[in-house]
Amino acid sequence: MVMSVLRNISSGLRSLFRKERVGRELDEELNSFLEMAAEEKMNEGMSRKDALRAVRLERGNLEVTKEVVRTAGWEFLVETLWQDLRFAARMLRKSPGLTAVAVLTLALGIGANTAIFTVINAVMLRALPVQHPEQLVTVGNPSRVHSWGTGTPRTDVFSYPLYREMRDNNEVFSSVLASSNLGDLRITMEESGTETARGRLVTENYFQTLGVEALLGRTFTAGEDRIPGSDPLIVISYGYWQRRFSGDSSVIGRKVRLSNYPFTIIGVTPPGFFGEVVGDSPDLWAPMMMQPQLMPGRNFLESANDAALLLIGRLKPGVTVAQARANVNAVVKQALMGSLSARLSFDDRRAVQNMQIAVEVSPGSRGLSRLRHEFSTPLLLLMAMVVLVLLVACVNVANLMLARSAARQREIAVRFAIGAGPGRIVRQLLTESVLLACLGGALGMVLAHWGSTVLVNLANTSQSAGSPLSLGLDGRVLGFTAVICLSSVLAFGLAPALRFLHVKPGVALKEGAHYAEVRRKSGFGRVLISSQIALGVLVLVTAGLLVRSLRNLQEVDLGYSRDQLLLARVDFLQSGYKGAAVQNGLRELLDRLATLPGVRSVSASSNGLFSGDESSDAILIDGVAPANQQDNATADDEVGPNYFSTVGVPIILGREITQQDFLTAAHVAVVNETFAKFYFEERNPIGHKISIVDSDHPGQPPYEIVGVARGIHDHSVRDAVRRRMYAPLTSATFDELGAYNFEVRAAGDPQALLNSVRSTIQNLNSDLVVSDIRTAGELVSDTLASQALVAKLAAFFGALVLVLVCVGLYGSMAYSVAGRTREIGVRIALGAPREGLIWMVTHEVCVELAVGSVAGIFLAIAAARLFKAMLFGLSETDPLSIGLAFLALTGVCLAAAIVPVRRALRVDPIMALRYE
Amino acid sequence: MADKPSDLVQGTLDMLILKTLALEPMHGYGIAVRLEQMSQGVFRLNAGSLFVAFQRLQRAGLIRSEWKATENSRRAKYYALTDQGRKRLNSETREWGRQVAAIARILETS
Repeated sequence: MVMSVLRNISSGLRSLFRKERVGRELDEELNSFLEMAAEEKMNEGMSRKDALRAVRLERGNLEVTKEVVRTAGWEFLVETLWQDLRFAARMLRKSPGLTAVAVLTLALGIGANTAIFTVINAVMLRALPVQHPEQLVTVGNPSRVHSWGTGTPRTDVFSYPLYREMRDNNEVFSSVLASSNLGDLRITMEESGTETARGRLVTENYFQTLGVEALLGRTFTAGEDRIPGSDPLIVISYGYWQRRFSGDSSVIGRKVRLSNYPFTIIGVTPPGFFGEVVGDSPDLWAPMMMQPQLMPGRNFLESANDAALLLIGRLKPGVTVAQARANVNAVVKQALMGSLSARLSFDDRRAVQNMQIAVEVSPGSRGLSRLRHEFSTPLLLLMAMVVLVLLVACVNVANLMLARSAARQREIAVRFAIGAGPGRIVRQLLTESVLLACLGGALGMVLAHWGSTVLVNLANTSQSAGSPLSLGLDGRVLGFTAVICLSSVLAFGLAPALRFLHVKPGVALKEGAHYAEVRRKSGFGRVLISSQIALGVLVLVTAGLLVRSLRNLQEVDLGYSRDQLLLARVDFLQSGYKGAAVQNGLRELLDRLATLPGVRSVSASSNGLFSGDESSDAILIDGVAPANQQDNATADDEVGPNYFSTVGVPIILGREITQQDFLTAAHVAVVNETFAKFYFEERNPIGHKISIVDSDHPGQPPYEIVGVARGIHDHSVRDAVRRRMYAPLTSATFDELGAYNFEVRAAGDPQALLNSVRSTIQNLNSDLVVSDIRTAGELVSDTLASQALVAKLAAFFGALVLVLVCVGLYGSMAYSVAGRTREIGVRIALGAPREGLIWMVTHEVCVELAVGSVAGIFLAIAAARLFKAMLFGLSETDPLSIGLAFLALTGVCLAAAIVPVRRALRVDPIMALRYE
Repeated sequence: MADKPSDLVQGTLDMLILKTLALEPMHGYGIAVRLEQMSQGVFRLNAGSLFVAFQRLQRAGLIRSEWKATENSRRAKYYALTDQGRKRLNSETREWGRQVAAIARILETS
């Protein structure tokens, strides 16, 4: 079977590429056939001439025979396809303008689709470049890749002791790794000073579990990572190696200092490997056991209350995800109730007993990602929009093709008349469409390559070097583009081609006039334009809703002024401060910053504003009986002196936390409005006492409420204000915070203070770790990154659609005016008024605009329900968005109509009547 | 008047060509003449269908070809059965016999 297929192919190829020789052989064979047949007849007494004619009568014309044999094999199909392709290329070259517009239009549509799909592929679909990614499962919430949680043990992120229990007691994984974010690390090299690098803390079996081998040197081995602090080794990424060390292979064995502790580089990972977190490519990996050295002052290795690890396990052969989930949950339950229980405080133990243990265990071939969680909905929304853009582009090209096919009526009729079947003609026309789509697709790929990079840069709010996402082309993206190209061929090429199935050659040839068909624009063409307008309205209304939502979000009243507010996070513990030195450093820095010129006031707090840090506590209030246990919890924050006046939060009742409170570590508290309403309703909360429930630190004096502050949006623009209590930073002596968020209120432009604030911090101690200094406005914008990305791109696609609709309308009107030149001439000659002419040219467009707009508005309102979660401060029937979309399209229609209308008015009746 | 030449039953030409070649290699014209003789003039073969069939059979590996001199010292392409062709001929002949017998039974009963 296989053999005969191969023989068929090779013989066909021979016919294709040795066409002449195969043809000669067939000629010779047929000739000898003819001669033999004739000879026999001649032997019967016929003359040679008669014999030859008799043979031809009996056996058929040998020329025809040759043709029949030649066209019987599959290679003939290839040959005609090649002919069709060459002819199509010739036809496209003959009308370069039309071809250019069509190709460019398709390239924009296909390019936008491929660009978005490339990003979707990288973020949501692609498997990690590791061995057998399908065997991996994630344990914990795969989007919490940057979380550090403290307090009652959790199961969305794991503590190290809990991981250890899992590693040693599970029955489903052949190996299970744990990893955690290290963030920006200070790295010091001998020859060049201190810089930062992104790090990830991993267990020693990390590379072995993923099945990733070092490109250079080695990765961690078992045994390392058993004793805390004993193996100061790091593996660096290929990108970092290239970027920082110019690919120098002597980097292996090099000593560097990380967080001021000496480490040795032992290996470089292969180029395709970006770690297990999609969208987070670390520069280096350090062993878990070095955590205390990398994060001085915080030892999490033995604490069951500090959770920061996400787990990835490799399933043993034959184990399903469901089995893994059951086993993981059993092990976690066993650990928390049994072996780890002794390490927990009384409250935690009770909490764990009441806790519903349901650890998330999911297929892990795509790795972990915060991006995936944040950007999935926006990306899918954008994907839907670009599909619409492509549809509009296809409608445009379909219109062009329709117009041109009408003009080619005569050519086609001639081809019918000389014997081409309808199938052959449709195939020829479709070949032209395929060629157009391929050209558009190729150009689109180039646009997409550039576009997806721009897209990622737009979405990326961190300022570190290197692309966070690897956007390679792979089979899936190529396949997607191919499918998109072919679907667009069907969308724009099929209808114009099929029209010719019913052409009657006689009629078409008789019509004579080139524009025979155009006099009456086909109903199909009008439907196309209406639907194009409807799609345009849909895209524009969507864009309008998203842009206006973003504006609403950006302009939300946070409860304080975000202008002239500078925020900086300084980590004293990480910088080697211990005990009382931490608070002394804090005080010193507050004093120094306050004296800077241009600074109006300074404060500090543990959670800060839009910092990502958040904390809460269980409380009891005298005279308030909570309805249930959940009501006991409140968000809290520890703040420095004059925090409220610095941030600009109005105090509604009582007073704020003062310098005096701060210096004396007074047990006083300010609560926010939400807190006051929740616990006290209309009563006055001042003077009541709040006790923090913490069995590890019993006997803490309660906090007396001294003021009520207005509720502010301090961590999220969208979410409702949570109830919160604020206490002086110095009062919670048992909480060794060590890292503080500084709030600096500037008298003028906060940007101008950036450098002086930074140098003030460095002057205090050049080893102080300062993570980014940003203005409050910037930080707030960062939390809106995905919203902003969608809004920007939606606006861009809206503009693109407008351009496409304009080009399409212009093309079809110009064409129709050209086709009706004679009619217009006659009308002018008969004295038709200008208004009448204008109406004649434009009334179709007016109807199309009206029909399309109404349909589009209904579609848009229906569609907006799907992404309601992304809207803010407006409803899906927002009249402004709808009105603007309608106005924009009307404007575009007008713009498209101007030139054709002027051309119609300028028709010279005499010339027009002589025309043709 | 003699019966007019009939068209072949669909799909049987290949089998007949194989049968013709079962005895000895032959050239195209020889095959045509032999088929007509054996059918006693019932089948008259058009050169087109004949040569398409040659191409098809050759590509299927059932026959092979070779240029040789004829008895009249003319050059002609001779076709010969391959092993695979011989097997195919046997199986098709058997199948044909079964079908003809079945059809005959149906026609007789009615």
